[in-house]
Amino acid sequence: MKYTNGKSPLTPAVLHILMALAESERHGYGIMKQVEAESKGRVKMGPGTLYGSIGRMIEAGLIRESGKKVDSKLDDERRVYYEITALGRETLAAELERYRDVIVLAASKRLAAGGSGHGF
Amino acid sequence: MDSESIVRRYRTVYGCLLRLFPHGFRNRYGEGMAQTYHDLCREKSDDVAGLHSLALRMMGDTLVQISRERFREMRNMRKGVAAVFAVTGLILMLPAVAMRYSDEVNWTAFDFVVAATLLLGSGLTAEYLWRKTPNVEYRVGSLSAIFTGLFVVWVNLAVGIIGNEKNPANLLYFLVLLIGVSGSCFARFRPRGMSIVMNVTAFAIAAVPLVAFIVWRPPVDLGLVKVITFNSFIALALAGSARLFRSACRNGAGTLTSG
Repeated sequence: MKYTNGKSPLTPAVLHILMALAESERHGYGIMKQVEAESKGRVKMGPGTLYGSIGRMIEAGLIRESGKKVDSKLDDERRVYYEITALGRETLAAELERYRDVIVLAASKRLAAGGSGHGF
Repeated sequence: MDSESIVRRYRTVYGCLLRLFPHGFRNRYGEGMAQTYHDLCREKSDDVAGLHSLALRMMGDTLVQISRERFREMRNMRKGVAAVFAVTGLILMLPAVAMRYSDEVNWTAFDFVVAATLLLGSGLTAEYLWRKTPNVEYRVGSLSAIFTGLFVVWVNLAVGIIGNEKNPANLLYFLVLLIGVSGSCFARFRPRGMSIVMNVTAFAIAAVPLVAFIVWRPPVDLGLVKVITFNSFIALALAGSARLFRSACRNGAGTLTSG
């Protein structure tokens, strides 16, 4: 499925990782905890899903390894931090726009949760 | 058993599980995954039942990812191997077509078999080494070394580097390349070892005219100058590969593992 901006819908894991990195650079465990907190515990990724997604996102140019080094006394200095790229921000914005369009469409059809339509 | 010991044991098992990932993926993300797994387990260390459940769930998630990455690797490998066969076919078509229009090109079936073996062997080795790491220096160094070796064998079989192709001195080149190939296998294609092997091969190639001169005593003429020039060019190319491998080692490809 293609959209006018040429971007395909993102998988839930990719969307959540982009959201987690939109604010600041994070390492793998940090991303995982941020996603869990933002989704109120509904999205729980394992290391396999997380790093599989990170690998594909780096290949696609959505994120990259950041040069951030932490104080070895505070954290493990071998940790690799990731940051969102300009393309990643653009893709995230396009995806959120797509979600907004879907919500508007659902509302116009009175399908939105809590609406007076038949609901889901 | 206390929770710290359980976490340690799970981490060991998880480390073994990570070895099932394709080496490229493992080299790049294995340490991060192990660290994340350890962090998650430590978080649950005060709840042993929860720790077992989490540890096993995360292993299940990792097993699914291993199968995905293996599938991706196989799909990409098929593309790479297909490309090598296609390029080999295209190259071999050139003499096949030329033979129809010119008497100067006269390849026998044996020539085609030897050429196909050389091209496929070099191409598949290059494809394998390319896949081992995303490190640019390692990739360029591998391609440079493989195609320099192929060039030497091709020229030697076609016209002979020293004198003509029947001159026994040319066998020295095969001996030198054999040292390069067996040394690379012995180094398990790791950049540090490859750097040493390429330097040794470069030195040996440069020494070939000297050895040939001492053993066979050819006349000192323009042919000898041409051989020395050719050998210097090959030795420089191999030394360049050695330098690239050393640089790859410094830039983090040193932990590269085979298989």
